[in-house]
Amino acid sequence: MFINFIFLLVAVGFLSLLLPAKRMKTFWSLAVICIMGYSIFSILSPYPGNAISFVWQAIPNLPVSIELNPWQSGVYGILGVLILHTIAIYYNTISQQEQNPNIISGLLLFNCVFMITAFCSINYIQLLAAVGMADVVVYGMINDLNAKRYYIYGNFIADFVLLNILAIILGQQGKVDITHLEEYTKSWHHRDFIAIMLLAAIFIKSGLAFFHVTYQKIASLSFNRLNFILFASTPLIGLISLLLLNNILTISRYSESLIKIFSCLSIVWGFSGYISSDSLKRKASYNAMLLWGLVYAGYVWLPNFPLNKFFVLLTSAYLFNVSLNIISKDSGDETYISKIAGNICHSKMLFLIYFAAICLYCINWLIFSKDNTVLSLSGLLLIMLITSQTISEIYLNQGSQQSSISSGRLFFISLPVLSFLVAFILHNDHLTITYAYFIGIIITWLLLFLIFPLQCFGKAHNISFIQAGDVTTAIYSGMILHPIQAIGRSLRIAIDFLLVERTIISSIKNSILFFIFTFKSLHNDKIWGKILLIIFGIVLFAATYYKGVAK
Amino acid sequence: MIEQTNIFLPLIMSIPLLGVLFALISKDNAEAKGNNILSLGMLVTLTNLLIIFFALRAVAGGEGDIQFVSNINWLSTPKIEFVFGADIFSLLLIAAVHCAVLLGLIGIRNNTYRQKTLIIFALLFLSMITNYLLSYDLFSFYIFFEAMLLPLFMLVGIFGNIKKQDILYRFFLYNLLGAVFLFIALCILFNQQNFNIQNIGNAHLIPKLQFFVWGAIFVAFLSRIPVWPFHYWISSINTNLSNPLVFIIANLLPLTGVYGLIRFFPLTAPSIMTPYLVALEIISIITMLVIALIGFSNRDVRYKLFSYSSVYYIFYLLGALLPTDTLLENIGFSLFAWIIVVAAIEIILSHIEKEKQCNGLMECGILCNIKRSSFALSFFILAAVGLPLSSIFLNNMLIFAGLLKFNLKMSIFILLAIVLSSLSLLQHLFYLRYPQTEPQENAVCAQDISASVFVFLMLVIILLLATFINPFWYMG
Amino acid sequence: MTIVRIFRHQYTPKTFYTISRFFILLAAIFSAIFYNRNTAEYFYNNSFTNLFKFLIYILVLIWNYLSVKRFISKNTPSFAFYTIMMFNLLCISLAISAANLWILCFSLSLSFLCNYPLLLIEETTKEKKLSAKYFIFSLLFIIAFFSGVFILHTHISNLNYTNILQSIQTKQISLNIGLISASLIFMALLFMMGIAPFHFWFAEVVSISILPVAGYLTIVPILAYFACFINIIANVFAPLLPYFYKTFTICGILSVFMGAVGANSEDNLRKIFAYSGLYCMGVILLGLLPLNNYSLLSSFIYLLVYIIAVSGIYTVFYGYRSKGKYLSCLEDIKGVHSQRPYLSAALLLFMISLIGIPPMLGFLGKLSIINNMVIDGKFIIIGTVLFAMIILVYAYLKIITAVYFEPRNNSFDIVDKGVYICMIINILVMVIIIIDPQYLMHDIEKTLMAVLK
Repeated sequence: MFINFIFLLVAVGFLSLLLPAKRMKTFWSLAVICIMGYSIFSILSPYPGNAISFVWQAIPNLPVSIELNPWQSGVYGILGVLILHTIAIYYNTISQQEQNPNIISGLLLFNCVFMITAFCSINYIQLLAAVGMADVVVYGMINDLNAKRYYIYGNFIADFVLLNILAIILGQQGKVDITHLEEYTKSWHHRDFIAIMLLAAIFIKSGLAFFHVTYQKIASLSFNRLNFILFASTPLIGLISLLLLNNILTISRYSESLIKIFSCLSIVWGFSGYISSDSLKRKASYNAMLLWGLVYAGYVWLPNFPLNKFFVLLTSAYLFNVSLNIISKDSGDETYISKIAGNICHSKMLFLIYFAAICLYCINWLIFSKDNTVLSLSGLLLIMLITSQTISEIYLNQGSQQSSISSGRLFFISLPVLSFLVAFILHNDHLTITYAYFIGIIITWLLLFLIFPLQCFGKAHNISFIQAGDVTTAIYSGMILHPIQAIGRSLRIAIDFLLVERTIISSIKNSILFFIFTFKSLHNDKIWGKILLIIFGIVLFAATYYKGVAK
Repeated sequence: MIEQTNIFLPLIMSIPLLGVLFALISKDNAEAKGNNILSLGMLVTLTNLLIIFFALRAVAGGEGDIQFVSNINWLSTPKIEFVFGADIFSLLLIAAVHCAVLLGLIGIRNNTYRQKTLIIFALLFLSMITNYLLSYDLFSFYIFFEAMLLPLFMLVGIFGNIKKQDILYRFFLYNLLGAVFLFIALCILFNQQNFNIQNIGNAHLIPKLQFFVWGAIFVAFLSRIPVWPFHYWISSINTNLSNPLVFIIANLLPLTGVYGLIRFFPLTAPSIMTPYLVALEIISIITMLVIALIGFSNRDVRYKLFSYSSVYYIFYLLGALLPTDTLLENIGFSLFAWIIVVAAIEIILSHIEKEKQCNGLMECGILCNIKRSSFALSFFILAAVGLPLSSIFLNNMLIFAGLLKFNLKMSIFILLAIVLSSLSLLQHLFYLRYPQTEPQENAVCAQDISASVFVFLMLVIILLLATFINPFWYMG
Repeated sequence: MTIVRIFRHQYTPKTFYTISRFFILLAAIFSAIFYNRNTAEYFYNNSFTNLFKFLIYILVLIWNYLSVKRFISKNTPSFAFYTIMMFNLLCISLAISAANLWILCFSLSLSFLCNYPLLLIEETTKEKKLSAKYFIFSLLFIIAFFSGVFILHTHISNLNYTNILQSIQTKQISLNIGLISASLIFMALLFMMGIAPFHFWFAEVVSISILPVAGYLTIVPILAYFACFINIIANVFAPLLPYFYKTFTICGILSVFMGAVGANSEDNLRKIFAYSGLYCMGVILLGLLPLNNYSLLSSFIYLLVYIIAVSGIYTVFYGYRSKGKYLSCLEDIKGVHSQRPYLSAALLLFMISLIGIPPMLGFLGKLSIINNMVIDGKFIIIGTVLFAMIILVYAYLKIITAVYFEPRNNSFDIVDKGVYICMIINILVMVIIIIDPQYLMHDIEKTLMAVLK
């Protein structure tokens, strides 16, 4: 069954790409959702079938095996990936913004397969191939050129760095199996360099502080694409890579410190970005940044990284972003808080849906981080602050214009949130432990909603520098890009022009011209040149004679 | 060396030459508008590709031995025997060259200016480079190494739009100088025995002579690869070549240098050359970095493409110079896809250039209305930078692994150069796709590539993906 | 021909061509019949002399065929050309077969002086002045030749080659005398062959003469002078050769260098190829020493390859005609390929052959001579030769640029079919030799070795 659904996903993905845009949009999307449902059912089934394993001769002198074995890697991870993709496909189905949802469905299905492949990786080649292919898929999904550019620049560098780290290890060890990493760490070749480079690649992929520009630029995409990319694609694959290759980090003493620094920075940056942004989409991006910061903080501060709880947290965060989308839809696809607040009157149902999403988010964070109280509580506080700020801005300043979507449609849009809530309540065995926390969370959040402590940050909505300014890009341009360009231009002038053209080539040319000048002087119409040559000849033979005689 | 009776090699070697002869006698009047001769060129290339495909299937893989050996006795006194043979590596390169030329022919399909001359010289070059890649003894190696210069010179001179003739002469003379060095080395080695390339290390020479011979061989092949100071000739030429076929052919020339060094070095090179190999590596890396930096800052797309191809040629060269021959097949597989990718990029860029000139358009954002060109160019550039869309991706990883194992510090600079050159290509892609201003309603749009060309490019894309999934896709 | 000229009232340029053709064929037949007959002590025939004679006769036949086209097209008399050329041929044949130094001296001098009236054919006043200068210099060197021979004659009465050789070996002729006479004779021969530093006349002469004369002077006499030079070195002054090694080497290097530089300094096609010839002669001289089997064979091959290529080039010159005028400047032949593609392609092939780029015939010549130098360990000379070749190639590139890359600024006259026929024959010869060089590399060796007794 596992084999079945993997091949089914691939086949349906191909078909989706080939289907005409305007044909069978809704039908096909529903069919794809059913297939995803079948996949989830397959993975949860008590008789899931065999794993997939085959030898892939991708490189002539290094045959590698591709193995998809969810039971070895952890079924929950794959389940999490499937659920995230199902949600994304669902919103692709019901969204009216996409002109060609079939293609998006196809790309989502492929991404799902690549995620599973990456998750199940047993060797570097499988991991790299999956990472690279996933990048290509996401690149195809981004339909804003500026965002595409930033995405490909960042991820190309990240993939390249990852490839080379693994190349170093492969070169030293001669093996591609991830299980042999432990052996490599014992021999400690280039430990700091590899560890730092690995972290750089992962931070770029996950969009942590100073590497988050890509995910700010994709804020111009539709909400569905945006949420999918932020949670279910590249950043996730960064984390998967980290988890698979975490042995490498143990060899360097800088790894932990770097993760701590960057995770804290991401948390602070994400938080401050969220509260000062006017755009809901930018808020979504900053929320993702905050989340990933918290996750990496959890990775380093928690004694064990709880993978299955992580996926539940991730889904919750995804659904929180979905609730921001719902707010936008409810406001007639308006994405700016400053234009929503005071203009549109939102329904109570929306409030409840939003509240449900927040509760899921907060509780799952608690469950994820419960082994470290400080982290847990500080993270919780930040989440509550940002979530309360948004809803306070909207609901404490209601306008007169009615919301755009009916209750029925609102129900369909929020179906995943509600489904997840129900599933969470039914299947969460930690719920009994966190009852006290649950009540506390609700009360605290409501207080924050009513007090609206971050009200003053609403003034930042009018400051264009904060809304549209891009400090990181300016830093990159000023410190890296322009100096490289300046060096390039200087080198062209110094080496190509001055050294080669003006010095070497000119010297040779001038020497030849001198010889030609001398030659022409000897061979002109005048007789003296010829006489000179004859005399030279005579002298030559005379010298021969005298030398011969002298001998 | 496995000797087999075969028809593959004679066919592969003679078909392009026959094509030249047919082209010479063919008539191309105004009505035909160059279609006859273009069809002939394509037919020749496709036929040879088919034969190469069957030859690849017939090659007993994995042994690394030269196969389909053909001997031609030329002289008995002194004894000169031409030996030709093929292995997977050489056949892959020949196939890649043919694909690249085929792409070039497609790129010039609407260009009627002296098309007969263009195709004659292109086929002649193809014939020479094919024979070069099949050469297995010193003499035939040298003969075709030098013989390919003239058709290339004629192509660049006639179609290159080179304003300064000095640049053109310099281009020829640099390469001739390299050939002269090889000739001297050849004569010295020949007086020992007419060696096969694999046995060349068996030559017994006094140390001084050994140093001179191997140094000469070094310089000969280096003159083809854009390593400083030889990089200048190709950069001066490339920035002026607007004809796509000529650009592709000019960019195939460094391949001959890399191939030569792969065949001659490093296992056959004597230990006397080891310190100089290190010096060469340092100079190569500096050249890579310099060219990459210049390409990054340069707006001219031809220079960017040149910088990209130069960096990669030097990268393959450095991979070939590693003290191991296990990477040979990887280099071959990577080069196969890489050559095709570069040729495809050039075709699309030349189409854009033509549209730009015909319609008076700005280059910035020109791709935003031409979907087929945009898609194809995006794919090829992504494949070029090393994303998993072709055999470049994983085979390069092994080459990186070898380089990084050999010397980490030097390899970091190599990687930096590769990143810069790749980023400059990406930079240009987005420059072409992202208009600075909003397009006006009645503004003239560039014409997209035709459906037939797009279908052909799609076939190339499928081929590249096939090479990624299974590099041995052609085997039974 | 004189009889015909005097007694026949109606004659065309073709008349004298036909007569010359008949007599040349006759000469070739007689050479074949009497291939090993010696005439007392004055003349001898062996495979070496026959080889050169046959080559000369064939070349002259072909060149005469092309030359008549020129006279017909211009409707100018050909009597002077064919008569003098036949006389020249006679002198050359005598010189090649000479076994006596006086015979050699007279015949070579006469043949060389014959060049002067050839130059005067259809010349302008300015050109006549240049020809006069040439005549004076020729006289000077002929006097030197005679002086050298005379000095020897004062010491030995019989100037048969064998006798002179024996006299030098047995020291009957002192070293002083031997060196002086050898120097004078060698100077004259070097002048005749147009080797530096006595090369200055050749380029000027070919540029001012009409095309048939220029071609004849470029292609034909050089074979004879080469044969005579070898003969003299091997059979007369062999014991003194080691004294002249350095001198000849210097002359060779000068020739090579001056040829390369000179070709770059000119815009006149004939002068360019004249200097190219100087380069080739320099290479031949450098490759010839020390005179042994291999050096002789390699030099001969190089010379033959040069002759074939340059004869092809001069054939092409017959096709480059505009408004009845034969073009010789680079400026005039710009863009000629667009009207004369096959001729231009042939010119390209011949020039590649001259450069020595494989797979053309010139590669064979270059290979032989450089290989020979490698065997002798003359690496510095190899370096000089190849470096000069690169400088020379620059001049060829200018021609290729003019022919192929520049826009056309002239319209070209229709080319006679005979030119194409000769061109095709030339190319076929080149192709056949390159495909199967066995005869050239192997069989000819035995023929040449006959001179090294």
